[in-house]
Amino acid sequence: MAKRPPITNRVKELREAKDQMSQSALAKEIGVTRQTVIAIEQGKYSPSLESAFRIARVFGVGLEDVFGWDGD
Amino acid sequence: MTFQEKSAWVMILALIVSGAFYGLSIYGAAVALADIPPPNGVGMSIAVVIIVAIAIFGHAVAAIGNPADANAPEDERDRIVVRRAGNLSGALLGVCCILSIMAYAVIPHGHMLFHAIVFGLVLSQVAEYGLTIWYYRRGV
Repeated sequence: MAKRPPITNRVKELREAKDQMSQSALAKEIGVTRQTVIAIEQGKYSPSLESAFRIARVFGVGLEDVFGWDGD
Repeated sequence: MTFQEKSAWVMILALIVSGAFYGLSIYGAAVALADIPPPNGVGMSIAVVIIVAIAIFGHAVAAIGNPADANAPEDERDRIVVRRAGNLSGALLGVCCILSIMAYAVIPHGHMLFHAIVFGLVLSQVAEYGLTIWYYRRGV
């Protein structure tokens, strides 16, 4: 079984707080597919640094307000 | 489910059906000859036609179901999934080739070498699509 990345995120929480922004709209903003946004929200995929910055900019917050480290 | 994952399911089905068809044709010939049969050119041609037909039909159905996903370019996650699945299936193909060559060194039968290589090729392709589905479902 693929190891889950030790990175947590608040993407779903921030997306819903931003006028119930849809996953499709967020995907379009950051240049990925809707399925990739779903995978990020479920913690099954850690986005590239570029996409992480794009996500943070969409929500107007810092990178560490979106992503956290949950490893050793 | 991404279009790429649907595509992988279609290709696994196509490979299993055509591989089973070709494998059974070789098995039938082996039983009839009581020896390792030569490559079956007609059977292989039919197997290729089966793969192409299932691939075209399956991809068309998947695309009609969600045209936007079908037309969307690959993103960063898709590229990682394809690269990882391709790396492992390539390694599997290499192992199959080496085992086939080793078997040929012990039993120098050209027909057996041919069938072993074809089997390895089909197995590695099934593994590639299976791994693609695995990575999409379990995460990368």
